[in-house]
Amino acid sequence: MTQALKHGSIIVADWHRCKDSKEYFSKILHKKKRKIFGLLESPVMPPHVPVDTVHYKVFLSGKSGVGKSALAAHLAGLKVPSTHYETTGIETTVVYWPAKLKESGRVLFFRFQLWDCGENALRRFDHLLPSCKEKVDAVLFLFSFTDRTSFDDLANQITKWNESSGSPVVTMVVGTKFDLFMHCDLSEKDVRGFQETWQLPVFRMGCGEDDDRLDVTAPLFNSLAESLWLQDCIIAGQQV
Amino acid sequence: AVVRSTLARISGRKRRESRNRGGAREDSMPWVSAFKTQLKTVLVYLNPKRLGGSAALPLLESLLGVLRLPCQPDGASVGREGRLTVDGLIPGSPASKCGDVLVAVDDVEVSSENIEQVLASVLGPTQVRLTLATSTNPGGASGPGCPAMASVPVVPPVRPLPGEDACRPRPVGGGGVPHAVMYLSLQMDAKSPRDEEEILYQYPASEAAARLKGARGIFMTLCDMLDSVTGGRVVSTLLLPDKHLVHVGYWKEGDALLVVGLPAEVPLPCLQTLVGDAVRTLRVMYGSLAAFGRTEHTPQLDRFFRLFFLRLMRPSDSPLAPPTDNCRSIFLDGLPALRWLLIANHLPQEDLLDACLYMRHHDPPPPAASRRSVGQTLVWREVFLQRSRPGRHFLLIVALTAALLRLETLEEAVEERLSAAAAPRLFCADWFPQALSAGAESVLFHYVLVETVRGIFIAPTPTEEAQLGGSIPPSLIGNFYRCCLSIRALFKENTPEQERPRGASRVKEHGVLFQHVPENGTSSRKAAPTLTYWVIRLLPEPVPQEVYVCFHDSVPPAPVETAFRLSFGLVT
Amino acid sequence: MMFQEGSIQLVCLTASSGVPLFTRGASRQLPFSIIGSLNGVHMFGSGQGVTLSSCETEGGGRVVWRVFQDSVMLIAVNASQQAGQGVESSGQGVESSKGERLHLQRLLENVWNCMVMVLGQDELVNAKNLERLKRDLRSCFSLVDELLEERRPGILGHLTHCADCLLPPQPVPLQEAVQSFAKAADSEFGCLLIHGRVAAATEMWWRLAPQEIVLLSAVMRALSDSGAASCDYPVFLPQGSPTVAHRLLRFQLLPGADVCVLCGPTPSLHGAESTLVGRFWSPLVDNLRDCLAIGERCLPSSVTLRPDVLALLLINRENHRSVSCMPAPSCAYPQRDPPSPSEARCWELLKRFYIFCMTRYFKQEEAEGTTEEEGGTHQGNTEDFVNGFSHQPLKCYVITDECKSFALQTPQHQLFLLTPLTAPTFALNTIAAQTLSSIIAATGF
Repeated sequence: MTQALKHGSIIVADWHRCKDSKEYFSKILHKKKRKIFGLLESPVMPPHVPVDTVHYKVFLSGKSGVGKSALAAHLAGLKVPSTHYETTGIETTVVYWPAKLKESGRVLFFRFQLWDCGENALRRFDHLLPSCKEKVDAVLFLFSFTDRTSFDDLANQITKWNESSGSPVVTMVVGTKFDLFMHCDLSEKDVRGFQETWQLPVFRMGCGEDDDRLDVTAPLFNSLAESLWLQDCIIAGQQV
Repeated sequence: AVVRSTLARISGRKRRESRNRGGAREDSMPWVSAFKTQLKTVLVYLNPKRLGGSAALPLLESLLGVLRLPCQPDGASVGREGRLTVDGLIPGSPASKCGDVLVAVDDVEVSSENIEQVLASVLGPTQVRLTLATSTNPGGASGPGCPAMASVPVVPPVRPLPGEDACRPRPVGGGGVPHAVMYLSLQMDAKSPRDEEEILYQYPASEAAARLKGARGIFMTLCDMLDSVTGGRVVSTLLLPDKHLVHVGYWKEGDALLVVGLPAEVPLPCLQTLVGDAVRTLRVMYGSLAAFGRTEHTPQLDRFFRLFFLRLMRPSDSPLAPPTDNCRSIFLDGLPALRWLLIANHLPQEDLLDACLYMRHHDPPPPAASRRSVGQTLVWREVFLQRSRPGRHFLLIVALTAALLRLETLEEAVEERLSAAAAPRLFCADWFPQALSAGAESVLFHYVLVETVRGIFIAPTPTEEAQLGGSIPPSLIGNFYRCCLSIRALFKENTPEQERPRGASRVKEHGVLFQHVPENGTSSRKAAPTLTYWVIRLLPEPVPQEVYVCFHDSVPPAPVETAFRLSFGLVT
Repeated sequence: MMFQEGSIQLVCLTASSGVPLFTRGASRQLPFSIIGSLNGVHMFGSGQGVTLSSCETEGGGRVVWRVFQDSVMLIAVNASQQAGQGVESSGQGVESSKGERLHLQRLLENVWNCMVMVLGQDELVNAKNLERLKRDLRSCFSLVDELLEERRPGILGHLTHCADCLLPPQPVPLQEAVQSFAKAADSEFGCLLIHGRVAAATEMWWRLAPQEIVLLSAVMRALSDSGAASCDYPVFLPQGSPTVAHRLLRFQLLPGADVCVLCGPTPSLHGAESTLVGRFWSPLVDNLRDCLAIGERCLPSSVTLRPDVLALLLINRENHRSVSCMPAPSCAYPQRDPPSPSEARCWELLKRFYIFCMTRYFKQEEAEGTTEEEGGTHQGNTEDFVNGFSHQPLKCYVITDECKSFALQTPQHQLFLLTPLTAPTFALNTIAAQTLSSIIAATGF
């Protein structure tokens, strides 16, 4: 997984700030809030602007309480629950993200389906993890800035995953609860050290309500989209 | 004046008799006994022929008017067996007062064994000489006005039910049904905890109550604990001893707790009222619940609670009295109204309630009671009224053929009150405008208006019921009663105006429609039609009243409203 | 006072040793000593052969105990209303329906079923490792909190133990779709929920115990609220299969419309989602949108209701289904004089009225396969007071100074109705009869 990918090389970075993205982003927004799509729905563009949708399955892995469900809700623009409840099974969240390919200028809707399962449930029922891993395209390893053990456990998790997984998978690391400065258990040095060792990007996410969610989620999604698109291209034997 | 006249009659007869004999002579033969006794001789005129149909009673009673309690084999009266103690009096009886011992008839010594034989030998109208021994307490005046209750040999307020042994109470309501009353002390003496020390009183000592007794720790703990947990004093508990459902009511006073356990057949809405009424009556009788702690009251308390349970847990196989009597008794027993009718009352409301509750708690339940037995009651005791006023108060109950209730204070003079000669009748339906009960079909079934201890109860008379050919089933009244209990409980939840928190609502009207599908018997007669009827209670403005009306489904609303409006004028 | 007035506290302990497993409910929890005493009182009683069932204090405070499978003890405590007079806390006025004995008893049963549903009976009965059990029980908390707080006031299933239904305008295509979708997913149990209420379900689904259906709907609603597009949840059916887990696959077809199936090991979530959902449900999108448009009214437009019906609860006694709705929320109508109660208050009054009628007059139906002898529950669910009536109550009504309520019972149905004070009392009977016939004729409920 040594993707030394320069951010923004395939996908237009911060495209959500550009004017021409507005008509696409308006399809996933409803009065400044994210629209919720059921499985039978998807963002619809007018007929003269055909846009393809690419589906990807992303698995969120991390210890209990680290914030997987919160992250999924956050990324999808849903209400983040205030009390922590354990996820007792698999819950998937669908997020649509328009992105513009730099090379061809083509716009695609990336449909990320985030798979989230509680650690306890994974342990108790052994059919859940294979179900999560089935045809997965990317995995996000989560740790919490307020919980040092979750950070230390990352190495463990990543190793275990690499051992058992078959096909290549985009890997990213996300640190949650970044905005809780008072309880921060890690230093910048720790994070940078990790990044160098594993050659994996680490994204920092807060857990509070943000005014402009797109700004917050854009880096992660764009990066994810890039990696996935690249991986697809590699698999298809195509050079970008 | 009745008392006076009764006394006068008795003493008059004595004087007459002594005149007959030419001067009374009191032979005072000193008896060798602990108490000083006086002998007196009385001549009575007995006419066995006049006995009539009361052959079922022992001759002692019917001829001489002397009541006897069955003797207590384990009582303190060692050495007095065989003696005929005059325990109770029937009006017109020649015995001068209770406690007298009948020593000889016509100079033949009598005892409990041979008295019947002796009396049976009195064949025709003749004069008979009775010798009675009166024991006098040294240094104590007897008769009314004596302050110490215990020393006055009062008649037990209730005549024991015929054929029953008062000292070995039959289990109430079938042997297995759990029921109990306990008075528990919440103050534990930590130094020397004896077993069952906290039980100040318990009844009955039967298998049925054993479970509840064993579980008394529950009641004490709950009473202590729940106040801090939920913010309210504990009121009732639901338990299942051995799969029977039992409701337990609580009453806390000071540092002691009264616990009453009743089987679930007794409807829960009643429970609190029952316990409250019982407590009030006990307070009337003894001044405070501390009476439980004193062992001398135990037999009386036992009797009190025995009646209490008898009344509530009527054995289901008891033969029903004729329908109207049953109606009246179920109804008027349940709601706090007299079992008989209140003819006239000059007492203030609170005192009347005290007196009525006392009467109700001491009245044997309907299946066993008869008018005759009621007529033999004579009660005189000191009571402690709810409303405290200076002076001491005594309750005198003299029952003739109808009940009579009186309250006397030392300062006031005894007043006259005579009861009606005949048995009082219920108000007839024709007091109402014809619109209500006119027509071949009776549509107004029952009407009940209740105030504290009095009310109006209107039901079809037996003749009317017979006319309708049984379209009103006897079970209707039981259902009506039960429904009224439920309705009443709902209205009770209405908190008074000033206490009502914001947002609470007040119940103004409630009604229930019942359906009765009569079962077809083996006869091929046309089945009686399905009966549907309403039971309704309104809260009329501006004066809240308690009125329940039971009527057939087909009645349009206008007559029903009229029925309720009538309540204004009916209660004075 | 230990905790907020109007809230319920739930305590769970082991039956044998009295070790507390969890406490949910009010913000300030009961101290351990009190919990110990509450448990101790019950244990003492059972040692004496007396099962303590419930206890009532002045002002409506109540404590209810129940032991399940001789392993787990649940205690519900409701604070007395008179503590803190005149204070309305957390939006609960006084006279809340939550403190009633029937409600608390149902609550305990629901919580136990929820624990079995999430953890399975094996782990709960005769648990050896209590620390692990405590940790695992945390998974139940979201459902338990939902049961305690009743965040959706219009859903009454947990109280009535009858599944909340929505009656769609065109039920047949939906029914067929559910049936074939379930079959394709190797399952016989399938169900479509619109706005959290069952709109269509397979026949086998309806054969599940009513308490199970109610809880499964609650699970689905919780998942729907979280916004998840699809789920794969292991569940144990408390009556049907308490020891063997099924997989509950749920798919969000449209926001507010969810379909679920109870499966064995196949199909996988990913597979079902990609191959089955679109195939069976895309053709029905318009139908689904029509159902969603009905909204909280739960009744198709073919049912015309009188304008003076504030709120209604209709129960089908035979198949344990219910419809509860407020046909015309008060905001839609100009202010009546006197003003009608608010929407939340209407639901509260309807619940109280239901509890009142069931406690006093109406017999409860015995659901199949739910007779439990443990815990010392008296035979059947019918209250003793009700059984004491020799004649059958058919209808009853209560008029307060807020609204008028009317209830009627036929062999097949029970209808509970709220009307504003302006409706004439003598017409209540007619209003109820017309409402009932109108719904039944149009939908065949």
